[in-house]
Amino acid sequence: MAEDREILREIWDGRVPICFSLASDEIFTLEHPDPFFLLVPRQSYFPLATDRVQRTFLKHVDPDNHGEMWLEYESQPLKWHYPVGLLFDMYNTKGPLPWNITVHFQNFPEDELLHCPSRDAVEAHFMATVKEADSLKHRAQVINSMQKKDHKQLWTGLQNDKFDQFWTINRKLMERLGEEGFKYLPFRIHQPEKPFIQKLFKPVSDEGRLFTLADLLRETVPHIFADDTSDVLRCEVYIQGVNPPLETPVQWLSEHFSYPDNFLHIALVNPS
Amino acid sequence: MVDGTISASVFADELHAFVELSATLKDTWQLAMANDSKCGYISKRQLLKLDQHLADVSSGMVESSLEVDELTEQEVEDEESNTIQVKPQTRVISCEYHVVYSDSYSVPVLYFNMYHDSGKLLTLDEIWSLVPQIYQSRLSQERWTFLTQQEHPILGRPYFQLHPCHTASLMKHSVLSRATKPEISTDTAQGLAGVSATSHTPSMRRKGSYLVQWLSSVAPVVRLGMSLEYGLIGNN
Repeated sequence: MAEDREILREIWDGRVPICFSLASDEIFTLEHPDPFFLLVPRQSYFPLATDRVQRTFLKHVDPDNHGEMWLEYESQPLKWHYPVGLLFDMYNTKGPLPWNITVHFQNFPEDELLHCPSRDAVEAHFMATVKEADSLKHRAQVINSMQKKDHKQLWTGLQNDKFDQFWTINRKLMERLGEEGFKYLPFRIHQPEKPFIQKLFKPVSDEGRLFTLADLLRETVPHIFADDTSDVLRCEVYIQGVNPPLETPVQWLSEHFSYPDNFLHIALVNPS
Repeated sequence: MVDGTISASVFADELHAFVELSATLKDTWQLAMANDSKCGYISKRQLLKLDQHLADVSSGMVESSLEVDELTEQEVEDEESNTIQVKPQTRVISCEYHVVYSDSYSVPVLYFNMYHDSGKLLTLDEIWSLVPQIYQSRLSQERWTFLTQQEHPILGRPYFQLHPCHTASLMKHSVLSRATKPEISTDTAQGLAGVSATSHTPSMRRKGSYLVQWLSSVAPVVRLGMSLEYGLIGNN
């Protein structure tokens, strides 16, 4: 059970300052649009935060030649189905602030980005991820025993930035059944230029030992350790914008540092 | 397993057997190994030809770009009945199907993509218009949860996916229906003359391949061709 409410609140309130600019080669009007500044919640998804950006910039593109909006940073299309904080950890953790993101309406990169036809698609994706996480943690018993209105409350709490509304339901998903911890840990390890890594991993050993972040990383990405014996890393490990100590138990990390989709998203970043 | 799931190791075994069976049946499923995953996955390419007949069969959403914008029309006057018949060109859709194991749900998952002959990916609406009518009404309430675009877990690229959360219950009912058949009385069993011999065996375990049973249930939804021979040979 996630007991440290202050930490949950701090994570929830995290914001990223972003400067959105329309791609210069897509500007069609004589008057160039000003960049759009926003403080975006780390726990949110871009399609939930960029309605006004889209409405403003659409006025400046070729009305006969535009499609779905998509975002890019330094030639890297940004996956809207990843939480904003995760994308920041992956691509701009060492960069200057605000984070400069380019907005496009042409040449949608279909081989890299999912389409986002509507807010319903974001909700469906979010709920599917929550369900998958609970399948791993509790064989889906907790999520399946909830009513539809509880599922809806998770989504509206996230959408409307309502911590209490969200966590009233989410705390049930963070409960341990018995003293054992979650059956499997819902986590994904994100590295540059590679598909994410997700594997079955028990957060607690059969003898009751709490596995640490170091244990998880050795099991899934052993190549990031400089050698077998020390915990010196070849890269940096970011979760929710911080480098947690390697001896942190992953059960605790899962309960406190997961994103609203209930996954622990770990970003491996090359040292600059 | 009785709960409708399948373990990773059984799945891996069935995958190899399936690919061999595919070769025997002159089908084109190929096995691919992932870098660091214990199971491989299988893939198959297929061309789908769409003509006027199929356009009629698809849903009330006939106004999708697939039927209206893309079809060119050739008017042919029928001299005898004095009507004008419209013959659209045949469109060819390139399809790619993958079967990948899900650790999270302990079931296989179907991923697929479909491309116009221009190379452009079909939209979700266009994909829905190809789902046979008989499934459309059943699935339309859960439309957003059943068929969506996802990141392929091994390739990391966008693919459409049939959501796995219903697979276990689908397969559970399939297991139970086989497990209870031995309890039918002899008279009734003889009355079920059309039923294959395997259903009369006293064994309570699943007969035949989970993979074949599951794939043959979901294949028609996404127009994946699957010969009936799979069920006949695969279940012996």
